[in-house]
Amino acid sequence: MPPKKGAKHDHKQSNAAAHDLESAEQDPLQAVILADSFNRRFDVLCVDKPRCLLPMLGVPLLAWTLESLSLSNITEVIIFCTAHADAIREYVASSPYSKSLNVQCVSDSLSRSAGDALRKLDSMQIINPKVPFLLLHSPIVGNVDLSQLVKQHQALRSIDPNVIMSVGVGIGGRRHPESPIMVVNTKSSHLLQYTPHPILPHESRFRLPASLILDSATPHSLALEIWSGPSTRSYAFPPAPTLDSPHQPTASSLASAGGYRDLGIDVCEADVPAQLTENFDWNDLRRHLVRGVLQADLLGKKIAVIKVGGKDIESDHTGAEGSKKSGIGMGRGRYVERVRDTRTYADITRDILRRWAFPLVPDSGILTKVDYELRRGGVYVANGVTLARTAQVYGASLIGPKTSLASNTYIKNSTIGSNCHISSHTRVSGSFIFENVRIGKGCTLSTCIIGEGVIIEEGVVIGRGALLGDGVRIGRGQVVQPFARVGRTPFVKDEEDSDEEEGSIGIQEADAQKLEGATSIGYIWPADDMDETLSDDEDERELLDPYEHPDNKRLLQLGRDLDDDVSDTDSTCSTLSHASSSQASSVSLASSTGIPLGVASAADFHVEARLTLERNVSENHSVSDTILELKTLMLSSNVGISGPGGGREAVVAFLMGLIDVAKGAKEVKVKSEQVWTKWGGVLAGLNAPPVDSILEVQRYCVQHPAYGPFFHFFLNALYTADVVESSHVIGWYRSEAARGRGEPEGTEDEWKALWERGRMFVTAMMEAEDSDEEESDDDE
Amino acid sequence: MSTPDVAIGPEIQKLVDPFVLKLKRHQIEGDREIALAVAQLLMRVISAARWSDPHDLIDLIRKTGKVIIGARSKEIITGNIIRRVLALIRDEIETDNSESTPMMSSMFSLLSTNLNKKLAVSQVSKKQNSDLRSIIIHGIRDLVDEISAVNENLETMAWDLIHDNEILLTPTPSSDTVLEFLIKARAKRTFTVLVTENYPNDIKKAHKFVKALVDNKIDTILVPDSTTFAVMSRVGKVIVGSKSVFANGGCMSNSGVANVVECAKEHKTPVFAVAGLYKLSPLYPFSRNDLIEVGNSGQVLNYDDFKLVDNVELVSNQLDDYIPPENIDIYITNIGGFAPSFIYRIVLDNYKTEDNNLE
Repeated sequence: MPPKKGAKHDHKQSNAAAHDLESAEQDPLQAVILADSFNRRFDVLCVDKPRCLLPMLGVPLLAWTLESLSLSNITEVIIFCTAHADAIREYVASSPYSKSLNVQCVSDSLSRSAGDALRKLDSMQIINPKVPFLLLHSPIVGNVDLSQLVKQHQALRSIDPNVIMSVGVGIGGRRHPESPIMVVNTKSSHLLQYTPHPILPHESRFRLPASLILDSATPHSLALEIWSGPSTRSYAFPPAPTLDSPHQPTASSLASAGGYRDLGIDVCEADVPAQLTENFDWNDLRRHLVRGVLQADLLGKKIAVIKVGGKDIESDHTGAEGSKKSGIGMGRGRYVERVRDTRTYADITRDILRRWAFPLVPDSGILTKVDYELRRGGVYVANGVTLARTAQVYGASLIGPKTSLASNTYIKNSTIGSNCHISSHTRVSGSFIFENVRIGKGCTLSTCIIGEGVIIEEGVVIGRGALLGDGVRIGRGQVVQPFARVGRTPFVKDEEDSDEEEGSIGIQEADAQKLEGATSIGYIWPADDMDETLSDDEDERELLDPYEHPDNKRLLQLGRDLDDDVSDTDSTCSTLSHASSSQASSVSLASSTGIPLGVASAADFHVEARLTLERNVSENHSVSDTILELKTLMLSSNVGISGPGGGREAVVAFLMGLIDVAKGAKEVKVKSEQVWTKWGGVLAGLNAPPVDSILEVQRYCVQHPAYGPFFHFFLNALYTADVVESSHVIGWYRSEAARGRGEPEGTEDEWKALWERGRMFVTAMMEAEDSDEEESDDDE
Repeated sequence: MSTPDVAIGPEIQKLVDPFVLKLKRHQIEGDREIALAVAQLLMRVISAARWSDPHDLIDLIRKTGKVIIGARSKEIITGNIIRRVLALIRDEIETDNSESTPMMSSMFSLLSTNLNKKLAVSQVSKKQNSDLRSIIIHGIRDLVDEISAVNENLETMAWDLIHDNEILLTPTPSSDTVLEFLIKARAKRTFTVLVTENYPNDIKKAHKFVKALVDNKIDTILVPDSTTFAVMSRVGKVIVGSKSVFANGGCMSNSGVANVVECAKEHKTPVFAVAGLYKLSPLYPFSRNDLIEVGNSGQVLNYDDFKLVDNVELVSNQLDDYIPPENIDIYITNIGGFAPSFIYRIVLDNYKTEDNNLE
């Protein structure tokens, strides 16, 4: 629904919209489902079946998607498969949807990205260019009438024919590591900027080109809103700055709101695949396509946003009786989510069980022939389940047909597929167990996904977030580590980024880590974030998907708690520069949900660090403990090692503070040697480059002139305490920075003076070294 | 999906399948709409079906009926309509038989062989097959008319039961039968109506209901659900719309109604249940928990409110309530008013006992 369109447009638009609707009735709506995710998030589970056939509540994800489309009265579906296309075809042919929907499976095993897929579809010319089509990035579950999206897109297009694509944006929902920040002109519903905003590494700022505001031809129609992902807190943006300038008498507003999520459902015109064909290097639909279209002014194409859900939509919609009658509209009680990773898989399963996606619930019998009975407390039990008298089943759980639970089993928040057997005294919580699984006595499973046909022997403990692929067998008493991924076949590293890649059988012994236990079958796959090496090169990093950053990727896993794993400190966002008039080139906004910004926080860290060190010194803790404490502190307040306000500075400042310079040269020499011998390890433990450590000491001396005369003592102390080695001292001596290069004006002389003072030590040291070497040479 | 039944031919399956899916997807809502849709579907099934023996037709309708009931087992109405149609067919066959085979002594029929009799029946029915078909379809059309005209036959009752200056309370704003009933009463009486909001599922309907009443010059007060007990002492009568009525005199109604009638009982306030004849079911409510459908949790707690959504243990949105017969004083139907204990008699008039179990 376009929120508030100009009244003058209304008449023209309604005519055009009516015309569009007519044409839409002639040509049935098409939906394109990308069956492949083009990432590796499910890969242990997807060794021999595609992701879209993974069962959710005993029904393949694809069926949920097709059902969601059926609810929207969409009848033409194109499924784009890459790997396991035959399995998908087979499933579709055997499913009831082959009758009610016109499903077409297109396969191309060479496609490596969503861009490739659309290019392929474009070249095959099977998309009807007359009507826009729905593009689903991933399997969805929803009870929203998606054809409404298309209607709204057509209404927007009738106002501005340059709109080639509309992005479905959901309101509310959970916090997710893949939430973008969108800049939207709410008056025209046009998307102006789309920035991926991963939770980790935290970006506390994002840039908004001033041209968005300044170059706008129609400033009076500009109402910018910044939409960000759902957060644990609501965003606290200050009141919007108004852009007042003599030339723009009407104020444009800049507001922001949290709690918008990208649904991964787009309404695309035929121009979109054409654009992708033209720009063959566009692979990702969001990072390349959306950004490309928005940045290329020459094209003049626009992308719109359509809100789905939320209460305000409902009031807009009361007029549309048609959508209400069918029972599927938008507003309260409407649900749509997509399965992107194991994390969302778990969330969505639970949402379905707790009936947010009603009528898509197990006991409605829409998707399965299995008859489920809803019992008290949100427990679904299929026909023919054997439950022992002492079996306990709690909340939001589903037990599939022919499954048996032995005595004293405890099931909570879990789904158990058909034909499973769970032996006595086993506890299962928050887990997803597929078909034909046998679990022995006294096992503990928490927050994990267990593939088809897995056998778990007695006394096994499976940690949080573990994924067990199909056919794995875990021997008696084994412990599966949290977040471990276990496959039946060893991990095969393939260069291509595709999770449904058929595991070629070539076994690489280096990667193959067999499970312990005599009866175990299976290999531990390397941790998810190990298989990608991050380049430090900024340009290359630009090309990588920011969501695929190892830290962020970890958060996508089942069982990760966003609130625990990510510190969420308070900070308010501020619009730093009032981008008024001309010279401001960018409006810089600090967003929240992150790490406090600026000086205040650094000062906090310094105080904290000093207190920590003081306590450790007075209580005479070991160096390693101190390192650990400091590191934790640095991580929690997001302070780096180097730089002003960094951890190294804090340590150096503290250690130097221990040395009393008022007592004369001799005292200083002894004391500094003592201090650095005892605590120098802390500095080394922080992994600070030694040369920088010397520079830091030098800086301290520059800032505290009383220490200046004793600089060579400190150098000597550092050297004798093995904090630095002779090569580092020489490195320091030769470096430009040691002579004050790049330091503020006026302090250069002091730097130089200290460097001179250091030279005495360096020359002495080098001579000593030489003689040492000679001696050792002589010895040989 | 429905289980493909071997006995149901593909042409019938084609008619039934989309309907079953629509029912499952809740794309048809409302008792009357469902009742009419089922009746119309059966009409199409009967005109499409081929049969030689009317008993085959009964068999077919029973099987189709099972599939339709299975689609929404908690909806009693579908079963009612199917059984009404079955009773209709059985009635026709009986009258046919009694006409064609002249009065025979019971002794003779005992002595005659089964084979001969069946042959006779089939010969007779073959001739009259086309007649029978049109008679049945006509019968269903009558049923459809009855369902659509339910509200019109209530007016005389309305004037008898509602007095001037009375205060009424209705906890079922979603029922248009109640709405019609009140509007009809307004023609001769002036009274005040209290309407409960029935959060969360009926809240919008409640507002529309109130609007409709006010448009008809009825003094109307919308009260929150929580105040029911407090206002009950002032209320003269409680008027309840029902979703379906069981043979024991109990009925299904919107969730929250059970509470209201319990309050009414406490205050000895009479409770009138309004129901069309088609809502009467020959079944007995044996497992009451299974009768209650659980709806969309999003109505109670919107999905936008993700902070709560993730932290609540259980959100449950029951759509129905079972009201035991002792909490209802009179059923007002389009064929008159009856005590709950008398419902089983009316049921016997309209249904055949052999169809109570379709298995």
